[in-house]
Amino acid sequence: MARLFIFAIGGTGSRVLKSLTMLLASGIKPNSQREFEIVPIIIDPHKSNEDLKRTERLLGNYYSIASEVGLGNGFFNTKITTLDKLVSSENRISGSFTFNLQQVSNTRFKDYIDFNQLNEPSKALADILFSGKSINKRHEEVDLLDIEMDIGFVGNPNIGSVVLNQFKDSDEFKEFASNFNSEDRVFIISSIFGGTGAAGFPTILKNIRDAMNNKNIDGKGFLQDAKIGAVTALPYFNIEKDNDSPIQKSDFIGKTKAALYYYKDNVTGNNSVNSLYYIADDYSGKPYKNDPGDGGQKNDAHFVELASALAVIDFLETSDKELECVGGKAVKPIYKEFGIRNETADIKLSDFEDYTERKISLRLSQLALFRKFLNEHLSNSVEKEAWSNDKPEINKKFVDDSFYRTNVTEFLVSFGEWLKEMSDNKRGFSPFNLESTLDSLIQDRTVKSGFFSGKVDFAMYDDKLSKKSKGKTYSSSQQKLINLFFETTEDILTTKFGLKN
Amino acid sequence: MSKIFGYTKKGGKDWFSSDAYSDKEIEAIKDPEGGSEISLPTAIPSPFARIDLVKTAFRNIAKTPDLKAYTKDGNVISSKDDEKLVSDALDLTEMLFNIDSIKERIKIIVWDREAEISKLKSTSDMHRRFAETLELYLEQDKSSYNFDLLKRLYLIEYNHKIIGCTSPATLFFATANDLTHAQIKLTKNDITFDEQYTPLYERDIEFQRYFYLLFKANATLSQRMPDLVDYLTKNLKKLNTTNPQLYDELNKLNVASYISNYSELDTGVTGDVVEVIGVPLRKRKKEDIVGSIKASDFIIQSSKYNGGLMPLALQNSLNKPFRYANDKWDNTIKVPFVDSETVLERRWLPGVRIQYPYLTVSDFLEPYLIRLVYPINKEKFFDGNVNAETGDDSKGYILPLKKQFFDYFTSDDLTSSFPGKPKIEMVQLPAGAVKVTLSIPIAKQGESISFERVYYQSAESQLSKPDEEKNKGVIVEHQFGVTLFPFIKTNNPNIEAYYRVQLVDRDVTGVLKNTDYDLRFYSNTQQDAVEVRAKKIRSSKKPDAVETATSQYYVLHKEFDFIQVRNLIATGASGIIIPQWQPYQSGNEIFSFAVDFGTTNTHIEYKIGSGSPKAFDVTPDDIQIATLFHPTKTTEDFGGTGAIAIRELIEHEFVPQLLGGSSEFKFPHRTVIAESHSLNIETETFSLADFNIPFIYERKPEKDKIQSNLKWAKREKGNEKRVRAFFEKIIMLLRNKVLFNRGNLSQTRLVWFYPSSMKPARKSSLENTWNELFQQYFNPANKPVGITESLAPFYYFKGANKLQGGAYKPVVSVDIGGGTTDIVVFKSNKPLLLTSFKFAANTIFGDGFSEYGAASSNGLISKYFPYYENLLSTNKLYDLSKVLSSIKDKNKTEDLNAFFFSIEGNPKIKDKKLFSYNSLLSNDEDLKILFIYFYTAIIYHIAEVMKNKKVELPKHLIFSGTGSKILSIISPDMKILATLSKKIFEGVYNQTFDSDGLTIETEKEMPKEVTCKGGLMLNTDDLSIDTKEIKATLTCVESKGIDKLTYDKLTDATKGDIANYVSDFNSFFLKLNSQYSFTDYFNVSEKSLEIFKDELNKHLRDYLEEGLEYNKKLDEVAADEKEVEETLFFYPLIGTINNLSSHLSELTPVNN
Repeated sequence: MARLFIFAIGGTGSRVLKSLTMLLASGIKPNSQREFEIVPIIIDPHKSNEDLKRTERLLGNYYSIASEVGLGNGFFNTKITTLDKLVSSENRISGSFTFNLQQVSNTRFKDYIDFNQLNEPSKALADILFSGKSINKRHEEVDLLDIEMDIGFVGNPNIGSVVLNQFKDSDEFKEFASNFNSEDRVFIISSIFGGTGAAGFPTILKNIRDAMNNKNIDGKGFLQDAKIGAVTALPYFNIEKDNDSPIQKSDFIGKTKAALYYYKDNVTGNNSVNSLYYIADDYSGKPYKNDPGDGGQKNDAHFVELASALAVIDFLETSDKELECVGGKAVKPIYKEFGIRNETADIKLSDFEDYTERKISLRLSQLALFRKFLNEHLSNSVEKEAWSNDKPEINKKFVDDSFYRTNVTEFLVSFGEWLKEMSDNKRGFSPFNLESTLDSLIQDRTVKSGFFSGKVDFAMYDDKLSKKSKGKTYSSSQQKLINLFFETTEDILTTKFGLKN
Repeated sequence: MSKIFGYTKKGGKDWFSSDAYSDKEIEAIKDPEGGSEISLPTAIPSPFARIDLVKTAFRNIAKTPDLKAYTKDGNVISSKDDEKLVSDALDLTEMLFNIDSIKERIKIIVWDREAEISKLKSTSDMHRRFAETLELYLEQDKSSYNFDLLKRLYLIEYNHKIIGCTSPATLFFATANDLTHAQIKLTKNDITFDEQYTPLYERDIEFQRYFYLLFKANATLSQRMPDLVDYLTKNLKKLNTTNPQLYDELNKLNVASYISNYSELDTGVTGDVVEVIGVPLRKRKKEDIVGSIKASDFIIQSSKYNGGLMPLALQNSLNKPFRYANDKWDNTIKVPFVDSETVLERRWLPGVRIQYPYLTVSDFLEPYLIRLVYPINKEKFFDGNVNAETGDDSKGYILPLKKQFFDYFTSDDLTSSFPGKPKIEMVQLPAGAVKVTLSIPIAKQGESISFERVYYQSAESQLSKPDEEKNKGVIVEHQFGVTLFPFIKTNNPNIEAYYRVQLVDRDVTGVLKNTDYDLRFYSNTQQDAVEVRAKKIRSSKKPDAVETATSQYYVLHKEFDFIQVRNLIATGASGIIIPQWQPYQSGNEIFSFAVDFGTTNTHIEYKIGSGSPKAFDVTPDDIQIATLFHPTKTTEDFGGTGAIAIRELIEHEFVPQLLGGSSEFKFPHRTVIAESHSLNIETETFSLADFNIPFIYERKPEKDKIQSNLKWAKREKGNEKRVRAFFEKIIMLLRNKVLFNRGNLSQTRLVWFYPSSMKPARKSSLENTWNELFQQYFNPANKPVGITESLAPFYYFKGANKLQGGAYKPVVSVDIGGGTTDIVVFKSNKPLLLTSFKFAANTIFGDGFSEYGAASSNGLISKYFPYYENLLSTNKLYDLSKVLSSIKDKNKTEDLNAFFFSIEGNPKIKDKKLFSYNSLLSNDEDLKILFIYFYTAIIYHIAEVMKNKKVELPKHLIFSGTGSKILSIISPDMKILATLSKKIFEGVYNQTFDSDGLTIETEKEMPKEVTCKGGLMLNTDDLSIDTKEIKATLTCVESKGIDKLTYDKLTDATKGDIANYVSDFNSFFLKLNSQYSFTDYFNVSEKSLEIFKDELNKHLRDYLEEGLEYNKKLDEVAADEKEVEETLFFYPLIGTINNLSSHLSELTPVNN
């Protein structure tokens, strides 16, 4: 199986990765020539970042579920794995999705490069390259060289570019490099206006393209000519105005523009990326809390992250031919932007263009419907309804088991939160009425309830489940749960809600 | 309506193919807050972010119409950040272009890519990571920033802080750190790294020219730095409207001039050039700056400076459109009032960072202004154009100029007041302050720069400190005087210069009491001070003793144009004195001088051409000295300070303003010399430095040591020096007389006199001194002529037609001086016989054979001293009282008598009769007999000599010399004296006169002067006689067959014979009384006659021995076989007279 290595950098990287995980969990699959195994690598110096933690946990649950039930069950139908799972046991590394930055905690940048021991010319050079002021985590103005790096690079991607470059020396990068094959692909997710993402994207990109010069890695040739896609998120949310904070809204724009100019010359301009996805939203909505990272940086999920996750799908749907590289340069670089049908402050499924609507409406709705049942009705059905009692049973014991209780439930709770956050955000995305009756689950979508058809309710749901499970063989209760619900929700949504497959 | 989450305006659905974001899209991103805020986002994910930022800034700003921050339709085309980044980068480029201007503060550090990365990789992991990041970006981003051509970066350190670096994308980029420490005004009006961002077209034209040439000459730059090329293109377009001339020029730049117009820019190591992407940068040529500045309007217009680059003269608040260094003058430039850098070449021009010499106020104006306690003698010294209409006109000021001023200008420039020349003005302000304005001519035609300083009155108790930085001067009042002698400058190198300059320091109280002054003399044509041949201190002040002062004398043998006076101790105050030398005119008048160096008095006569002789004088038309104080406007007590020593010491130690005429000082003058009590005679001495002729002698109390009896003083070093100094001062006075009156120095003639009785060694010593001095000072065509004193008077009387009936028959000239009496017998206008003896005025008025002063035991003195002491004090003539007591202290009879005689001639005496010693003595019946005896001895001796030489009886007796005043003491009627004389001759000759009889001729009023006058009236033919041939010396033992007397023949027997001869004369004298009653004709008292008779023949033999002994010591005699030069007849008489005078003086008290 080919692999898609996803480097998710910074807060935005984590959040887009979360959206992608949701999409993949719902069963959305790229319409690609071959199957891809997803290998996410989260890069964020800010370890206490809530977004990062949430995404890591989500990925963990996904991985557990997918491992338990295997592929081919509709939901969780794409393999997501950690980098360490790719290598033989004796070489196991951290075992998480996160790349651990070394020597950044409570370290000043100055010390990170051992500034004081530099000889005169290099010290002079460092002095000017990293000149200027920044604001530290105590909201004090300090020299850039004195900035502590454990809260990300707080808007100093030039420092980030140095610190993140340790990535190329890391075991993770070595593993990545040595496991990289010609059919594999790379996708880099970052935002352009922050610190980590803006710095990490070029760093990773350049290190891949510069692989020939890296003495520590194997598979240099494949890597240099890797098919690389990337989404760069341009400002898409507001933050609260706080003059003491190193993050300023007006900075977002200024930094974005400066970085775009840099990309223009050094990313896009030199054809480093095969396919670059730009995304931005100038909608002036509800401001995020101004938190440079030290307060946990927990930002609500946003539609743009969903769209960005869709870019990953889109990238995988792009043919190998279009992503050819020679000498570390894309032969035919692709640049993409995202469009929806209707300009609206609160996006519904129907506001997408047809292809996207088709791609995601049914699957997302299926997962929503799955969630709704488990949330609201499962306890009524267990050991009562036929589908529950059929072998393998989905009984109380199963429900109490960690697979269900932890992995599935947690995942779907996250899914619910994800949806809720997106719908609460402005610009918002609210395809579902999560708390409504079953029949009004999907916004703008009325249930086909005619003379011949029955009412859409949990009774009907149970009925459909039992019908679907009848005569089927399942390898396990776990597999049964995932598979059965995927098929049943697909049926209900296509027949009753009129969604197209 | 569909919605695109992006910035291209392309429509599309889902994830659709679009374009890479280009400038258009990026610009279209709206900043909600306007984009003008300075925050310098470091949003670029590269360690070389700043290189990128600057590059982008250039790109952005090149899109604007004025190359400044610009917003169009709400889109920020170029932000304030961009403007700053570009301006900073240009500042760095311009700094490096002008690096020589700041080289002492700037350092260039080379970062060699290959070497440094390799070093970093090998030191530590931390450094390696840093290096590898740099390496990664240098490789990956090479096409955007020309990293492919980057071999070295050059870090610019200023004030030990990194301020910038070369950029392969934009030549330079600046640090984001604080740059206020590097805010300097390099050129024009632009300050680097300030808040005023300056686009290229507003910068220094020279720099713009360089910038365009740099790109034109180096294709690599044009190819590789398109953003800069765009900027330059836009800049040029802008210049088309703002500076069409430059626009034109820049369009026509010649590539070849890139190399020739600029110098290599190196790292400080020659040959280690600073390059950007392989293109070596260059810098402003030093010569170019200099060349450019040479056209400055501020260039000082110096008439003489040759010290290298001509400096600029700069002043504050100049609001004129002058050309400055390389651009227009900016009125806001602050010119410091003082530049601590003393080497002009190391100075930096204010306002622009260019090293070039310039001058400011403190270079020319002193911190102190010296105020004098008198107004300046404007007629003779430049007074600095003091405006006397305001303020105190009883004070003068020394020019507060520094010596440096004269590196550029001559003293004549300053005093000429011609246009194009410097000018000084002093204006007195309220509260005693003085504003001094010095106008300096500059290159700008008709314009000048004003150096202005206000000097404020210092506190009394403690001197205020001047503040040159704030241009506040301090006035200090100094009490000193400067007097020049002579006040003439010939400007003729063939005429030697002989100057004496007197400095009197009378600062004896207050804060300045311990000061010490020094003078330096400068010529306009030489940098160094004129050599001072000698500097002598004659008087020394005693602080807090107001009657004292220090006097210093400078001996100079070179001409000078100005004097720097410096206070060496107290304050360091200093200033300039400029004498206004009168134009010297050479001439061809022939001056003849006759100097009669007498025992008592010295006299000088002169004549011009063939005019008649007159006594030497210094008239208001040829005053030889120049006093710094105004001679008439200065108050008696020097403005209440009592600094009268400034005036007094001139007369005491130096040269009087006037001599002769109605002046209080005149010739004939006592033959005395003054010197310091502390003079060490063993050192090199100079006339008018160590010695002077004190014309105040007998007039005012002397402070100095007075030496009299110069003529006959024992011959030893000190005395010879004194004689020489005496002559030298006379020679200087004579020389100046010639110079001041269009005389021809080398044609000047000098006649001097000597008594024929003078021993040859003594005479030749005088002769040598005269010859040497005359040679030195006059370089004469004719040697001085020495004449025996006795010859000259005859020619006066003859020349003045005073000899009735002519001079066919013998005429006897009798010159009675202080020490000698000279007799010459003329016949047919020719000298026939000559004799000389030391029996003269001092015989009566001196101390006889006493080697030391014996005034206390002298009869005349004991009789008349109390009289004069009382008279002077009664008449409140305190000065003269002091004079009297000071002369008395020396206990010399002749000096006291000379003083008594001089009193009636003192201008302060109104009732001359009352004070006349002559008159007192002529009425003194007790003493009269002495004078008759004295007179008779001389006439008797003459008769004896003549008779011995078989000369017929004379027709005329002519008398001259100081001592001839004795004649009028004996009798005012010359006929009575003639009769007495006739009787003496007849007695000796034993023969009577024919009908022509015998007349006596004399110049009662000027008996001394006739020698000199005669000396100037005789022909050279008259001197062809060898006086030795006609010299006769009576041995008094002719009757024993001894015609010539040598010392070895002077046996006891001979001495006895001589004593007997004298005794015979005494008998002759007493017989004369019986023939011609002394009582009847001369009012001789009976009592005196009795005593006279009793004492007359006592001790004759002893007196003879004393006389011989005395004379032997005087000239440190002489081999025994040597001839006795004078008759021994008078030796016993001298003792007799001295003895008699004591006895006779006791008879009757002075009647008054």
